[in-house]
Amino acid sequence: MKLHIFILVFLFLIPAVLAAISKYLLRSVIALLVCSVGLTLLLFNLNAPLAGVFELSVCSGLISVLFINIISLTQPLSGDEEVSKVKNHYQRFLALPFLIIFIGIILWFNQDSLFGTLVIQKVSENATVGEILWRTRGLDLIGQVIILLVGVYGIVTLFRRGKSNE
Amino acid sequence: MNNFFGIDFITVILVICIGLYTLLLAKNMIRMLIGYELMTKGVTLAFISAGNANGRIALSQTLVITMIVVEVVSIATALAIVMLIQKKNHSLNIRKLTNLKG
Repeated sequence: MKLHIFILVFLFLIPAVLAAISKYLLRSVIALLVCSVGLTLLLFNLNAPLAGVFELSVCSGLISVLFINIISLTQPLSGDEEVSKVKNHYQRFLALPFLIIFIGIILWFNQDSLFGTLVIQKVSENATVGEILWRTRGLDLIGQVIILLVGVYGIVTLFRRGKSNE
Repeated sequence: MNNFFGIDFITVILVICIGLYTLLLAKNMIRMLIGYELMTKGVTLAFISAGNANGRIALSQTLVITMIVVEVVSIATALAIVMLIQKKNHSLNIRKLTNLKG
């Protein structure tokens, strides 16, 4: 396997971890920006230059500007929240690097059994949309299902009761 | 299956895990949106990897461009809502959104 693929993957993954665990929001957004640049390089490597250009201009450009704008417009946390945040921040995210390494090792050593089942089938030219979706775009559907689950989790988070109010 | 396909999907799963972890543990609404962004980056890579693997990279690129446009709109709307909530509640903490509680 080529070394540059590993370098690109690390250029994508390490800023992603930093964006998640960084204590300050501005640093998180900058890490997200670098993560977008890493993804752009991966997309170029996968022969998708147009998607790469969109990712670079929109995600690392426009979305980062939006995030920084909102951070500058919103007020910092109150005194109590700031103290609690500093105390608990790294404790909450302490497990993340270990979890990522653990999942990565499991996936790396089981990739043939896991991804070997994801066979992409050929479909005829006059196939229906359903056939194309389920036979060739099955991998994308997994991602879409995950995003739908995230939406459900977001709604649950918005409407659940806080511990202090029970 | 080539090795590159495998490492791509390992990366996709790891990035989605990082985003999901951030969503589950973050209390700050902006950080939750950063987690959402990380997950959509994973899905973008999944689209392109699948397209590259089955030789339909053009179709994948069109889908990704559409997804990026939708992503920008959703993030912009979400950030606007976050700003309004912050103005009303003077906090970005999602646990304090209990105004609708009966």
